[in-house]
Amino acid sequence: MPLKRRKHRLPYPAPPVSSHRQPAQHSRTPRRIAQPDSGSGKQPHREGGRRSSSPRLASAMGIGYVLGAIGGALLVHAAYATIQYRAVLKITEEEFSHPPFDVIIQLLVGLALCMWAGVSVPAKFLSVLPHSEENRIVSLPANLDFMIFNHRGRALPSDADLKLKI
Amino acid sequence: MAATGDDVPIIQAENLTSNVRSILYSRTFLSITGGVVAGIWGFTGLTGFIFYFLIMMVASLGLLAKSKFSVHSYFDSWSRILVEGVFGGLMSFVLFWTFAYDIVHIF
Repeated sequence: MPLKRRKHRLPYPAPPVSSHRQPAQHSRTPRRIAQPDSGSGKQPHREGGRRSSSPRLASAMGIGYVLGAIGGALLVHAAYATIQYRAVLKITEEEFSHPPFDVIIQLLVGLALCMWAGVSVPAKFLSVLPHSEENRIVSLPANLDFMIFNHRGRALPSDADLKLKI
Repeated sequence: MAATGDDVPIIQAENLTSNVRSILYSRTFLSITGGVVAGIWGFTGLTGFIFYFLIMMVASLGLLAKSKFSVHSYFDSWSRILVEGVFGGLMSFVLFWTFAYDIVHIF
């Protein structure tokens, strides 16, 4: 038989209790606890820059580094190929105007990979709006027993939709 | 104290600083990469600078996509995401451009 809770009389809404033991026969609907910054699931192609909170990839930020390394390796290989091409041109005594076509393709692919890595690896953008989900300013500390609410602050105009974060 | 009727919008300053630093890192890295590509390709003169501004425009598109096109929820003005770091990156671009050109074409 679970302990009976005191009746909640204060004007703020009751904080959700996180210490209930779940009775075995109930099937509770999952409670919506607000998660920081995982509301928008619409990021299909940006795994490279996220903090590693998602276990989907072995290392969430690692894919960006891998792509950058592959791009860098392609650029180095293209440089080596161009040096060899110039050596051949020196033998046949022709003018150098542009690298051969496949080296250009290699350069463009390496550039594209490095650009992808360069945009996705640095830190993800954090919201600057004060009222967004991630930037909740109001938070209740862990112990509510010593907080009183019966002070002069009652007379101030209050923001009715301040969100509580516990 | 009220948020309505303010002249200056309230923004989270440390998040803004972190976002600006992030686009600075992105643009610096892309300038360096663009410089290396321009050097290997053999650009000389004005063509190289045109290539640089092309790279910066593609970088702006990439950063806009990273911010999911809602610039005002991550920055305080449009000019930040489009202009910040472009002229600083120009110096890095020219440095790595001449460096790569020397390695590939002269030595």
